Order: sequence, then C-alpha cells, then structure tokens
Amino acid sequence: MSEDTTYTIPIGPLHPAIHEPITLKLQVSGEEIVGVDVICSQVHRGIEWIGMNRNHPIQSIYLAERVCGICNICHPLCMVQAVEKAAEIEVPERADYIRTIMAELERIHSHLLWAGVAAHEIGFDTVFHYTWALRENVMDLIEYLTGNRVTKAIMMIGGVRRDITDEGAKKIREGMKFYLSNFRKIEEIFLHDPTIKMRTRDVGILTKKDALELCAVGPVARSSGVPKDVRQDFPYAAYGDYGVKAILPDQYNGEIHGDVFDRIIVRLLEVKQSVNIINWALENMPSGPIISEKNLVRLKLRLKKAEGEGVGRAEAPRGEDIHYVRLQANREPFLSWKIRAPTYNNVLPWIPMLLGQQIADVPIVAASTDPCMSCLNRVTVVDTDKKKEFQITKEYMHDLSVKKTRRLIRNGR
Amino acid sequence: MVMEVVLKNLFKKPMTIKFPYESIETAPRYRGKHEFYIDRCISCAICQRVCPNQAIRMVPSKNKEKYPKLYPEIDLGKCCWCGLCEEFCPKDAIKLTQDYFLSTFDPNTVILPPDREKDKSLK
Ligand code: SF4
Ligand code: SF4
Repeated sequence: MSEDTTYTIPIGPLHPAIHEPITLKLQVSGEEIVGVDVICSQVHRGIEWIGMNRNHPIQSIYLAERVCGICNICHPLCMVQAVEKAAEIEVPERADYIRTIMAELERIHSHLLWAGVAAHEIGFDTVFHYTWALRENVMDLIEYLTGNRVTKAIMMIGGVRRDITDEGAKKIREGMKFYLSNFRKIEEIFLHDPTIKMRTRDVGILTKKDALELCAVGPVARSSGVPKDVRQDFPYAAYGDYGVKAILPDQYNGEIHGDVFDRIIVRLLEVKQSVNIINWALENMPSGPIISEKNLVRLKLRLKKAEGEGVGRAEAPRGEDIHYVRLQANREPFLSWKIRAPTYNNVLPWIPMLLGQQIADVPIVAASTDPCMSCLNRVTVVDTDKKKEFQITKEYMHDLSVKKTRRLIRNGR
Repeated sequence: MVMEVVLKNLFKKPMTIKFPYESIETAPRYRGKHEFYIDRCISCAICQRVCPNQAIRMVPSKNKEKYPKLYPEIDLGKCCWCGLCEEFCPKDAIKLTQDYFLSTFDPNTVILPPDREKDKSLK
C-alpha cells in the first residue's frame, strides 16, 4: 500500500453519539482522520407540520416536549415563550421562578447523563454507573414535582401547571444539598483522574475562531472560550434577576484548550451553577398565581383570536434553542412554527474537531458535543484499492476505544 | 482500601428490586391509567377536542336508557399521559390514577369504554 492511501469510513445513518440518524464520512490515512463530511437530515418526523396543520397551540406544547427526550423542558419553554410573545399573554412571576427551577433541574440531569455516557465511551463503566446512580436523585425529584420522570407536562401558555409546595421545596433543598456534598467526588473522578485526562486532554480541539465561525452554541462554544449563554445574554424566566455568568473553562484552571476535557469542566461547573441557581430561586420565589389564565377553555379561545409572531429563546443543556411561532386569527394551528435545536449548530464543529484525530477518538469527540449516545450500528469500511468491503460494528469501535484507554494507562501514549 | 469497598458492596442491599413482585411507590402527582366517572360527565366533548393525540373518541354507552348521550372512550395506546383531559374537564369526570400496570397481552383491553367496571384495586 502506498503512503497516501486513504480510506473512507461512512458512519451512520445511525451514529454513535445521537439517537437521531446522521451520516459521517471519514477519510482516514492509517489511523489518522484526514477528511470529514457530515450529512444531516436523515430523519423527518413532521413535528412542525403537525403543529401547523392538526394541533392547536396548547396541544403543540406536548408535541414540543417530544422534540427531544432529554431537553423536554426547554423545548416547550421556548415554544410557550414564543406563543406568549405572539399573543401578548402575561406570565406571573412565580411561574417564571418555577420554570427556572425546572429548567435547571433538567440541566443537572442532562449533564450528569452526558458525563456518564462520556465515561462509558472511553471504557470507564464504573464511572458511568456511578454518575447515573447520582442522576437518579434528580430524576426522583423531577418525578415528585411534575408527576413524570421524562415527559413532564408542566408547561402551559401563560404559566405552569403545577406549583411547588412547601413539601416540594424541602425536597428540592435536600436534593441540592446532596449534589453539593457529592460534587467534590464527581470533580475528583472526572477532573483529577489521569486516565480521563489522557483520553480527553487536547483531543477534539475546537478553536475559538472555529467556534465563532461555525456558530457553535452551549457548552461546546463556552469550552472554546466563547462566553455565550442565552441566560446571560438575553435573560428569560427568572434568570434576569439572578444574573447568570457564562462558565468558561479558565474559571477552573486558568487555561482554555477547547478540547474534550474542557467540555467536561464546563459541564461539571454548570451542574454546580445550576444547584446555586435553584437554591437562589427557592429563596426568592414570590408567592402568587402560577398561571395568568386559569380557565383553559378561555385561554384556548384567546389563542384562537390572537394574531402575531413571536420568537422564544432558551438555553438548553446543549446550547441555544430557538422557536419561531406565527399565529393567525381564526386559525387554530400555528400559521408557522420553526424549531432550531442546539445540536444543529454543534454538528458542523465536528469537522475541525475530528481532523487529525484517530478513529478510536471518534466516539468520545462526537459524544463531547451531545449527550445522547446510542446506536452506531454499522460502519462499512470500503477499501477502494482492493474493492473489498467489511463492517465495523459498534462493539468493535467501542473495543478500539477501550483498548486505547488501556494502552494509554500502560505506556502513556 | 479496595478490600474495604468490596466488603461494603458485598453486604449492601441491591439497588434493584424484584419487579413485578415489588414495585416502587409512584409520586403523588403521577399520571397513570384514567378513571372515568360517567355520572358526572355532561358529554361536552371538551376532552376529546383537547387531547393532543386524538386518543379520545365520543361513543354511546351500553346502558342507553340511563346514559343516552355520547361519552369519552380512551385509547391508552395513543395516550401520551399529558393530563390535559383531566385538566380541561369542567366536571372533573376524568381522573388520572396512580395505576401504571398497563402492559397487556390483549389489545382490546387497551381501549377503555366509558361504562367500564370501576377498578377495585385502586386506592
Ligand atoms: S392524558 Fe392527554 S393524551 Fe391521554 S387521553 Fe388525556 S388528553 Fe389525551
Ligand atoms: S369527561 Fe369531562 S370534558 Fe369529557 S365530555 Fe365528559 S364532562 Fe366533557
């Protein structure tokens, strides 16, 4: 084989890092990745179409909740904000605080879920189980507050559907104390463990320039040193009262590398920040109604008469989420509904991140932008020189990754 | 130190439970299988119109003399457990209970007719 032989490895449409199908074409020369192509739009569920043709806005909240299983507070939150702007509906202050608390609980669970998946990707299953066991605590809390672990059904146009009682507030405080007392341990595992550092330091680097040019959002942008956070730049719900500061990795150790390790730092610090925001919100929560229009039938009629457009923005655990909504009088479904989920922006940065890396790094680099890791079912390697095809399964890829961890532990490279 | 952890884990209770012989208590706000009180229902069909998944159909009841109008029939297979039917109902005729034992071998039991027997096991 000559020196410059490159292979093309297509990954997907089912990919290691996300549930949603996406195709990644990698050109490799030996172990090194020399070319990356990302092909999106492999799945279409018609969510926006249903919202524009079948459902009225109140029903669409529960559709928005199902855009993503993990971000099922920020999508409906974003959508109701857009509708509230379009129909000029007020939100009581207490509802804003409850929304904030729910959104931050979601961030805690999402970041812990991500941390577990990242550990699993580099072959550290003990840490995976440990973080997910920690995550159960916040899931139980969410179930207690909303009635369900995943699809919470708590958002409503003009407020929220369920209040936080004194008993609930007590439970939240206990839960937050639990996380603060365990934070040191998580930090110890993730940020001081030499193996994790070896696998993630200076891997999958996204420079600040690339992050800005490719419009990366959320923790991915922040770990490259771009101080952007919707909660800070365009505060919504109760964030304006709190004054969120975007978390950059240099707050932890004074350096910004823009690598996977920095993304771990940012997400772990954000868990701590969320705990602080929740504690603050509980202390300062005003009393009063939780929804501006209690009679839901009347709310529905008012929405039917409303005309106008609105944009909702929210900082999802993965980055900025945007919903655009347009209402027309005497038309129940939205005239227009557009969702821009954060992962959309964070896919293109994969290209600079993956260039120059090894195949064994693909799972952890891809996972570092996005918290759901599921189904890399089949990767076909096409050897163009020999006209031979064979398949790499998820297990093989995972194996490669685990082996690299072992190799690094043994001889440091 | 390793021995200490191993011994500790050996004598710890397992984190899992033996479902379905044991089950974890649900949260008080849990939204499970619907209970329907036909005597309270005024057949306004608001629940049908609000259901995001079109899981509710208005059907006549079996006992036509006593209940001559149309009443909601709920398809649990389509339901997404949003609880909107419960919240919109002006007469509190639909309640979501704590019952989450919904898996079944008989597809017909997934559809709850309006005049169904009340579930005795419910609290
Ligand atoms: S809970 Fe929601 S989806 Fe289920 S029947 Fe009621 S309105 Fe329909
Ligand atoms: S259950 Fe309630 S909402 Fe549905 S038809 Fe009867 S009274 Fe109306």
